[in-house]
Amino acid sequence: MFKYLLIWRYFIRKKVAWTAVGAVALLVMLTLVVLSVMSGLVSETKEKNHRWVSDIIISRDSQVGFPFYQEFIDQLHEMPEVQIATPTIKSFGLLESSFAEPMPKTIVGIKIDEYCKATNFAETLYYKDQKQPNFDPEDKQYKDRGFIFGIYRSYQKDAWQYVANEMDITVFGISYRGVLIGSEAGQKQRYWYVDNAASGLPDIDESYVYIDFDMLQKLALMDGTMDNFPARVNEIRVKLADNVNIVATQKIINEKWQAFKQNYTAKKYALLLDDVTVSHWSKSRQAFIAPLEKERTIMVLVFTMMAFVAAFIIFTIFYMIVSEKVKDLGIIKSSGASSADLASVFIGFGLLVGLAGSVLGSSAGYLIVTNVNAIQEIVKTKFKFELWPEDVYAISRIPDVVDANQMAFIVIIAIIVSASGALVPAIRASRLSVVQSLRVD
Amino acid sequence: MSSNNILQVRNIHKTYKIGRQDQHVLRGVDLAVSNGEFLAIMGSSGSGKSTLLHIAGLLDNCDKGSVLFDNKDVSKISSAGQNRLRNKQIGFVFQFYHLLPELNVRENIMLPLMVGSSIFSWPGKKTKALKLANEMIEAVDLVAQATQKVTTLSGGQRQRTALARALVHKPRLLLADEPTGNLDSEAGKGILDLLKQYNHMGQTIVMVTHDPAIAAMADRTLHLRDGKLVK
Repeated sequence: MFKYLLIWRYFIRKKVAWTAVGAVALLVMLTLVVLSVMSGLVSETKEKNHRWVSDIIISRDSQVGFPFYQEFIDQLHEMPEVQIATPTIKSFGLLESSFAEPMPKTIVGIKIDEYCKATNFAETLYYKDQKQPNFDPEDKQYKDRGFIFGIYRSYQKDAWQYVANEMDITVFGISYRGVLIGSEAGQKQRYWYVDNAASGLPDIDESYVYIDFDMLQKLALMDGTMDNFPARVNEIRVKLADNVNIVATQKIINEKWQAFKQNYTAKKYALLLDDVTVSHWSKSRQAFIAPLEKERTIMVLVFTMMAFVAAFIIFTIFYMIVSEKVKDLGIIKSSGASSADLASVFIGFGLLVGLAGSVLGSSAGYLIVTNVNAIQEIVKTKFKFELWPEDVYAISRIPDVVDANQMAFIVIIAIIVSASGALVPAIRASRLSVVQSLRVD
Repeated sequence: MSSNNILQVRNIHKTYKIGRQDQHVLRGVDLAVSNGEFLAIMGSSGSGKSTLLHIAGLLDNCDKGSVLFDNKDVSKISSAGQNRLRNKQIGFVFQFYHLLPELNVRENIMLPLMVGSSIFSWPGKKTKALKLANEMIEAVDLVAQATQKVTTLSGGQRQRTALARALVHKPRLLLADEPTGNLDSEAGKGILDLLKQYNHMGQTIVMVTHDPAIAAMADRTLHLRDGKLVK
């Protein structure tokens, strides 16, 4: 019984123990805040990439593209796992208006209805979202010759300041052999600004301009009219049915593709078809997801090191307390307490320090995370400093959700760290000779 | 040896290593303490009085020899058994009080009772423990200080608290190591009066002192010279 009384009294009377509580609280709070935000960023970034890419992407890493896409899409549509598959064209191009210099852009040709079903494109549009289209949907000119301008989310509302209503798009035709065809100056055509799209992915939003699939195929001379070669595309986006295993289906589609391309063994086809890859969304966007995951891993490592520092602080504090308590330990032992009783006093003390620090730290961390956007706003207003810049992290709102499992894990680790810090001093306390300890003046 | 002996110490040897030299402090000490006896052990500083007391109270191990409690050799029993014996049958009073500053007077006195209870058995024992502690508080005249921090007490009050703690669990043997050595004469007399009073009530006491006047209060006095006890 004395153990619990002593643990409690040491805890409330030993001010130095509050330093250890503070160390644990700081560790828990910082870890919770950083890991919650980083985990939120990583999962949000993954989600955004997933929704933007669709589930599976069949592509060739060249502007030349690949033929027989429609035949393969037809085969895909026969699969029960596939909800929809849609072709896209990606071409280097220039966007210019009468009052601005030409802007290099990636011009993307999409079948908008299919593309909206396969990806989250519809959600990224501004005017669609506002339910106030910038164009008359019944007007064929706008429907076929409208362009959708990729833009950062923060500029989406005021996009009219950056985009002219009429702009010329120039793209360059490339034959299936990879040589420029058509006009050397490219094929230029006037388009009308109909909407803007902000996916939240900076590399996409800063460079993509979307136009009608058929128009771009013609403009990029990939429709088979110029080089006596079947029409080509650069990608097929595949949206799977709900609850279908993406990785497993990607393998099936890959096998299907390998079999499909055997139908076209002529050298001029095989050259293009051989390089086509079938990837699931995370692999195709790995270059953009991996750095964030790496950053999160580094954070975990940094906080692991901080945990060691906290353990060392607790160890030092407990060592000091044990040294100061040598006589007390002697008298407790002389009253019949065992070595294990003495050790458990200090381990229990460590656990209580860990628990108190964890409760304080996790409460503070929870408050910070759930109010992180308000805090960011205050910091931004007062100090002109953005904690998580939108253009770097591609977020309009900092993740402000605390994962209960993650919080429980951090708290358990903090308590274990505290108890570990107390362990060596506790063992020292248990091994103290009563006689020696009573003789200490 | 008489079967009335509560404590017997047989042929105890103890050597300390001081630097590179061995100091043979106890050289075959034999001692028998009867039930209800008040024994004083005298000796000069460094003669090994405290060491003998610690070995007799199972706080220290001897190099050779044995300690018998109620005619049973307890020097070889498990440490758990020794802990139990210290907790139930032996009380200690030290020169420097050794009170726990985190506990108040009553809690310090209750320490042996708390050490002997688990968190599960304590609720059932707490009422009795409080009664015993309060009896001791009255006996040592510390009623007004019962809930005070021990750091606010005078030297005499601290030693009375320590004495109450040593006797609260009604041990059969009280071992007192220079119990008045750190007190002024008046406070020391108070402690000695209490010791005498408890001895008259049947408490067996072994007291170590270097002061002949204090030793004179005991029923019997032994001298520790050259590592051996002599009359």
